[in-house]
Formats: sequence, C-alpha cells, structure tokens
Amino acid sequence: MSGKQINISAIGGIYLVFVLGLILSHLYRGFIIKMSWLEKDLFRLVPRVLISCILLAIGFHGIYIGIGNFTFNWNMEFRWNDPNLFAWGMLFFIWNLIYFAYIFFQRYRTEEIKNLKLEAARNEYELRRLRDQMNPHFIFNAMNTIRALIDEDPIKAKNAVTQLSNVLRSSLQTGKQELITIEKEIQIVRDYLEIEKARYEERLIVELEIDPASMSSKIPPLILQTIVENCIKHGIAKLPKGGTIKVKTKKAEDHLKIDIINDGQFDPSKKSDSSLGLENTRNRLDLSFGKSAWLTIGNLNEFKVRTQIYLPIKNTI
Amino acid sequence: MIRAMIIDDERLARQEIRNLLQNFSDIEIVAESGVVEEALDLIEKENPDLLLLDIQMPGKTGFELLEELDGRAPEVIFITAYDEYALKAFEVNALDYLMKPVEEDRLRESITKIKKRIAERTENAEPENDGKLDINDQVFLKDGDKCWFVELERVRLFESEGNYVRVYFMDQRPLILKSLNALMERLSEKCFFRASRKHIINLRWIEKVETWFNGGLLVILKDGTKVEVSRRQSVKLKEMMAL
Repeated sequence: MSGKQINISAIGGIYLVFVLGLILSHLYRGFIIKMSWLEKDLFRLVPRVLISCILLAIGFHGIYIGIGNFTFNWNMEFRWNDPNLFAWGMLFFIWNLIYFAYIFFQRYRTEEIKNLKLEAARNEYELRRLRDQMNPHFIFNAMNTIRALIDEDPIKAKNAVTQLSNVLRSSLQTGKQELITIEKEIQIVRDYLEIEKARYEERLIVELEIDPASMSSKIPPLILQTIVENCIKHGIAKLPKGGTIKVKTKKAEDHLKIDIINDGQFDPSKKSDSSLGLENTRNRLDLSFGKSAWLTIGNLNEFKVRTQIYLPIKNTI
Repeated sequence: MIRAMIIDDERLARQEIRNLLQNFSDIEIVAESGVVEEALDLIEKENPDLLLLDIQMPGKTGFELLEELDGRAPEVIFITAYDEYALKAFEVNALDYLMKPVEEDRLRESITKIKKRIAERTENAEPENDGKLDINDQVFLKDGDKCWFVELERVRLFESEGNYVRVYFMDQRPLILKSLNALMERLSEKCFFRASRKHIINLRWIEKVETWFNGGLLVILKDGTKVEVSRRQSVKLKEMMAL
C-alpha cells in the first residue's frame, strides 16, 4: 500500500507547487503594481527584483515544506543549502524576466501608436489649415483672368494683382487672429469680389449694404469671405446668366445680423465640401461666441438663397 | 489648316486662348461659345477638328457636353484651372489637358500631337463620306467616372440593354444612354450592320458566318463572340456578302 501513498504525496506535491506558485506570483504582481515598480528605472528595479526573488524563494520553500509536512507527513526540514531553494529562486527570476519584458513591450507599442496618432492628427490639421486658406481653384482662375487682362486692359490688370495680393495677405495674416473687425472683413470680401467680378464680368453683380455702426464689431476672420465664396461657387457660377450677391449688415443694441443673399438654389441633401465648410464655420462661431450665435442657410424663394449670421455683441471699441 | 473652337464660360478665358493661338499659323478659330447648349449647336454646324474645352461651366461640365455630341467627336484639349475631380479624371483616362494659365509650350506640344492624329485620320478617310460615322471616326463615351475617345474601328459590337447600349471595344464594355435605333442612324452602313433588334456589329470584325435555325445566320466575330442574325437581316447580310 505504500506505493499508492507515495503516489498521492508526489501528485500532491506537484499540485502544491502550482497552487502556491500561482498565489505567490499573483500577490507579488499586486505588490509590484502597488509599489509602482513599473515606473522605476532599471537601476532601482533590478536590485528590488533580485531581493524579491530570494525572499519569494525562501517564503515559497517554507510554506511548501510546512504544508507538505502537515498534510503528507513528509518530515522535511528547512535547510539553507537545500537545492530546491535555489531552484525556486531561479523560477521566480524567470517569472520576473518574462513579466517585465511583456510589460515593457506592451508599453512600447501603445506609446508608439499614440505617437503616430498624434502625428497624423497634427499633419491633418496643418494640411487643412493650409488648404482652407488657399483655394487653388480661385487663385489659378484669378491668374488666368489677369493674364488676359494684361493685353486687354492693363490698368484693370494692375488693380486685379493688388486685389489678389490683398486677399492672399489677409488670409495669411488674419488666419492667426481670433477676431477681426467687420470693417476689415468687408475689405477682404470687397477685394475678393472685385477679382471675381473681373472674371465673371456682367454675370456677377455685387451689392453691399454695410451698416456704419457695425464696422467696429468683431467676427472670426474670413467667415464672411468663406460664405461669399461658396455663394459664388455653388450659386452664381452655376447659372449661365449669372446673378447677384448681396451682403447686408445690421447692428442692433445687443446683436449683429449679417445677411448674404445670392441667386441659386440650396440643396441640403447634397453632401459636399461646402457643407463641411458650413459645419466648420458654425464651430468657429461657437468657439468665439458660444451657443448664442447662430448661422442658418436656406432658400428664400425659388431663385434665391439666404445665409444669415446672428452674433451677440461682445466687443465694441 | 485645323479648324478649332473655344468653349469656356468666361470671356476673358476665351480671349486668353485666342491670344495664345495667334502664334499658331495653321489653326483657324471657327467659333467660340460660353454656353453649353449654344456650343452643341455650333459644333453641329461648324464641325470643328479641335475643341479647346473648359471643364467647369454653368449647367453642364465639359465632359457632359461631349457626352451629348451626337456625331463624331473632334479632338479635344481640356483646359481647367485647378479642379481635383477633373485632374483625377484626366489621369485615370489619360486625356490631353492643359492648366490655366496655359503655357504656350505645353499648348504647342498638345497641338503637335493632335495634328499628327488628324493627319493619320484624313489619310485613312473613306473617299465618299455621307456624313455618317465610319471606322476612322472617333466617338466620346462616358460611363460613370470613366471616359474614352474610341475610334470606331476598335468597336466590334453594340448591344442593346434596355434604354442603354453596351459598347464592346478592347477589354472595355461601357454602358451608354442611347437607343440602338438612334445609333444606327448615325453609323455608316458600309461599316456597321444591324444584326438584330439587340445587336449592331462592325463588318470588319466578322471572322466567319454560319447558317443557323430557320434560315437565320450566326456571325462569329474575331474575338470569338457569337451574334445571332435575325431572319430578315440574314437575307440582307447574304446580299451584302455576295457582292
């Protein structure tokens, strides 16, 4: 019968090693996290790990013998020169090695992904900022118009160069400012529309009705210019006979209202880059004025589209 | 002499092309237009060899204008300022295009290429031309984002599909919005044959003809396509072949 007993005690021993190893390593892991060893540099970490390995081996061996003697009547003694003690130490050391290697690898990867994402977001922002400022279609068409004007009407050509310079300069400078005066914004819009008028000739009629009291009110730069540009691109440029664009500002006690009315039809179901631009404009108004500012766009009748901006008065000089 | 026509909705842009073309002694500007509908009429009337065509115009794009051409397509140089959509179409379909403002050297390159193509075509042209499209003419086809200038010589088969016609050439088979009847009216009967209600075949592409049921015929084209010829048309085909 003793054969069977040895068998039970041997299997029990293996079982004990597993359970004990699992519990101790788990507690040790908790300890590592609690003492935030993962934040420590290698010089501080290595001695701590080595000492832990020794202590864990001693603890493990002690408990192992204690339980073994008690349950299976092993009659073993705790001896410092027991080769098992060294084996447990090695085992814990290897466990540490694998654990820390895994953690560091994991951390390296998430860090790398985070960096890449950050970089991509930064690039995209930069790109969009540049693209929003410079509409290449507008610039090259303007250049083409000017080229033709050089032969036909040199004075007009000169003016167009100045106006184009003004528009480009404004879009480079004011892009960095948070708010500019209506006066300045209208000047940009005027220069912009002059160039488009040279291009579209009798097909573009411009009406400006600017309330003098509104001149010193402030808006985020190029908001009006962007809207006017879209009115031409999606409205007037699509009409064989062209049309009229009218910009009107009106200042009241506590608010400023800007109306832009152009020939054409607005189709809200059409998802285009301009609906994205509209969203962008709304966001910019939100950032500067909060929810009390709004922008709406819709058809006034069968032939005309109206864009309205409402701004609470924030700054007057 | 190449007879050219300028189509752009901006007067100054047209003027600019005119100025540039002054330096080309062998190009005569026969018409210009800023409105697509008017341009279509003028093309019909003047039958120019070359179009200098803007892409973005009110109402219709330059591509849509070409799609509406009923007859043979002239040579085309597309002109655009900067339009991502158009640029992509040019690259995908390998079309001749110039960017505004147009550089004279680039224009010269394009025109030299086109002169060569026009010369080749006149050399091969059928002596007696009844104004219908023969195999030396090219047509413009558009299906979704893809478009082609195709010499009719390469088209082996037209197949009716509802209100559309599928055009078979090389390894392409685009679908165009046209009726087979309208198409047949445009095509020269010397080159194309109405095989049945469903098919028009290019006579040059016939490999062999076999007898089929009820006195009908089966035409096998050079690429292996088999086309059934209706009984009535079989009589006609036999007569033509007998000559």
